[in-house]
Amino acid sequence: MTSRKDEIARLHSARPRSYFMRTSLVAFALLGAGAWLWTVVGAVDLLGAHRLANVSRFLVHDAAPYPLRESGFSWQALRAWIAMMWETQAAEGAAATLWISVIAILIAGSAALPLALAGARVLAVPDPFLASNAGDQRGLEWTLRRTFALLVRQLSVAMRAIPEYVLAFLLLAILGSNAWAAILALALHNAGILGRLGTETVENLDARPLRALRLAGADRGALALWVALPLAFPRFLLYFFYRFETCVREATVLGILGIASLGASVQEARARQRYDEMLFLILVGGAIVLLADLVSQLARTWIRRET
Amino acid sequence: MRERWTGVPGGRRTGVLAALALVGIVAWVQLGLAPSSLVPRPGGVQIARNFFAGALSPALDYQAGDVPAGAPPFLLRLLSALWSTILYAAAAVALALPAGLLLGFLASSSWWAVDPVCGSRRRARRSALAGTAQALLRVFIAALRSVHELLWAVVFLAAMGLSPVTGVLALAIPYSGTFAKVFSEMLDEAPTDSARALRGVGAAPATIFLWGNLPRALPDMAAYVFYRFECAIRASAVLGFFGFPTIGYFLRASFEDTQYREVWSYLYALLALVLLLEVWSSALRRRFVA
Amino acid sequence: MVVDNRGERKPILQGVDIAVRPGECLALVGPSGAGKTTLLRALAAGQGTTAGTIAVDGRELDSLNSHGLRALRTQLGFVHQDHCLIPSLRVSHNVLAGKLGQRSLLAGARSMVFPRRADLEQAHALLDDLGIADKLFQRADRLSGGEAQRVALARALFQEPRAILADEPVAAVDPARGRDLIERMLELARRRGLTLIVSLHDVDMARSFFPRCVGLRAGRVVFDRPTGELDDADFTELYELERGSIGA
Repeated sequence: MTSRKDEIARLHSARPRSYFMRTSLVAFALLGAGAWLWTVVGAVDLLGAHRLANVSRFLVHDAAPYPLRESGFSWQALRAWIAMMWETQAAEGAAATLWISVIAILIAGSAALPLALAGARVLAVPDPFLASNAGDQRGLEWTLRRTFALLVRQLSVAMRAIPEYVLAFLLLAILGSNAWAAILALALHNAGILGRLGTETVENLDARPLRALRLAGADRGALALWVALPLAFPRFLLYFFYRFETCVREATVLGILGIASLGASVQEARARQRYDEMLFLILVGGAIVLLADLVSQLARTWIRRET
Repeated sequence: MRERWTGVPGGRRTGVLAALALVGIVAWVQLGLAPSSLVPRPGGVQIARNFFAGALSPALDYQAGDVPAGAPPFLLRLLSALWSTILYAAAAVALALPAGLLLGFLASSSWWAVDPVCGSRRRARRSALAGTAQALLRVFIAALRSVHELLWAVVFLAAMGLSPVTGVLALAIPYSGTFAKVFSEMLDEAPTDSARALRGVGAAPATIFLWGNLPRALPDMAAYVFYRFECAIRASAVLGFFGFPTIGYFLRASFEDTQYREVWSYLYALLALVLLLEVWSSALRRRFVA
Repeated sequence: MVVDNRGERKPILQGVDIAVRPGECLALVGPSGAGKTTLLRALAAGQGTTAGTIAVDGRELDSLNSHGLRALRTQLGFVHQDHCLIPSLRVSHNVLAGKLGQRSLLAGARSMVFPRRADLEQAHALLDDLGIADKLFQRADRLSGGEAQRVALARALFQEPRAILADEPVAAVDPARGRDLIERMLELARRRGLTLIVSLHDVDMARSFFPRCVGLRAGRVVFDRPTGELDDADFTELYELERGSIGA
């Protein structure tokens, strides 16, 4: 009779465990720790007197609005300066940022719908939703359709892998200095993301209504457009509004490349070393992102309540 | 309720679509967009043609003739740029994660959960306190998130100059806000049955949170950290456009030098990295759930 | 214990007045929605009452502060209907979680991450008594319903409580295994001198195993007598009345 202690030891060594998970965890821990150390080493350099002097000068002098620097602090001067900044630079940039995001996300959403449907594995089989036995399904048609869906999904991944900033940079060189570069960069990137999210939604749909209509004789196109799409629509709208907020955030900085949005004014202020103006514009940028966040939250709560 | 969405056009769904289209039209008009601007400018067509020509033959070596004498081999420089990109991203996430965890815990309702059996007056007091604390925290977290990481970078560059810390901080600050928000949401939406069981065992609130609420939300939280890391890689690449030694720096340099095949090498490298992370993350998710 | 309470809004329980002596084994029967879960939760200090008092060992729950409540709960082992295990942790961790109320934050965390051998042996012994000793290091989400229920019971027993309250512990299990589990529970209760209160759907199981039955219908106590004094008519009345009222 084995003692309880030995029995426990035996069970312990036979316990199910995943070496893959453990190795991954260790790898991440090492990477994180190494990166931490590397940053700390870099931070030491910052503590040199020269740098610290720069930082304090920035905080105290450069960051303060121009008219307040000489004459000291007064509410009136501050208000006047804010009003001036708003009228000359901020308002236009903020509005442009919002409009750019709106158009970009609309284009992205529209492009993502066909991507989502085309990439869904559940639709990419010869007899969708009635797949009785996988065995006799794997003919040429099956392979072709699945490969097509795979390619569409990989396209989504590629579209999302390139940062919007890089896309905008490339498009700027081709299209010249107009808002389309920013819009298309945002649209392309977000179409990839929304396409991927849409594919997931379609694949996780309740199969019963789809199967029922398939039995009634609907073909793949009809199934996709008139059943799958309406069913997936609420979820898709949720993702749409979530990406809207990110779009606004991203659109703010795309202007740094020189086009249209608030970032252009930020870059300008930066180039002229008017750090007070730059900070104000950045704060305005933050404010419109908060606004977009609010809109997005309200829209999503409304959608959740109505479905 | 679902019938409203799958039903006849003219229902709510069409209303939403119409509203969106309307907003789009307003935006179009306000921006003064014109489809004609979509036509590439004169030089642009040439650039586009050369650029896309390089897509199928990414460079494995320097393309320009005038490479300085002591320059490292092209592929080596590409790999070291990639490694820098990873380092910046990893450091940012490593910094943002503990901050995000702390803020996320404090901002979630399950942290402030009140015992349902405790006296009602005490319960009311604690709920009021919890409510205000949570609201303030949520505002703070939203503020952290609202400024884009590149804008933080611009500010820090102006204040502190170019240094690894500048880049890492610029990424870490908004990311801790994002982590906090997402973690608090995941904690609030996780199932509470284990927490209820632990309360029945007589555990203290901190223990209930640690072993009851947290393990239920942990798989989703881990998946999100992975996703954020991928985003951090992208953001870190873009930091290169601002002078940091990540892949964006070399990408821009090659582009402005019209060495488009080199640009494609950098793009493919970034793509490969993102793909690798994708594959790894889905493998992990399968192990965890299965 | 003395209980007389009402639930919120539409009263879930009304005019309930029960006294349980230490060491008693008691079955709670009644149709679904009768309030069995609420009653058990209230008895385990997990649910508040709108009126009336619950007293354990002569001390009323209302007079306790949070410390006192927690101390009380450590002495009451509760087995939930949906077992409420932590799915991503192993069975051993789930069982050890039973003592988290009796250990400090640090000691509790330590016991979960690096369990002591004595704890593991105790857990193994409990699981052995319940027949699933070989599942000690399995992940909790890989267990079948019956196995999970046993682990939940083991967790309650690990607390070393003075009473066990079980909410439909055999609802999701086939009858043979269910009887086996109830038998084991009763034996463990007798061996350790625990008070046992179990809510059951299966009337036959209640009648064959438990010396005292309490019938609950729509939040009210219909009968509360030793099993010997009850006959078939009492039970059919308990369940039939419920069906009748649906049509009305």
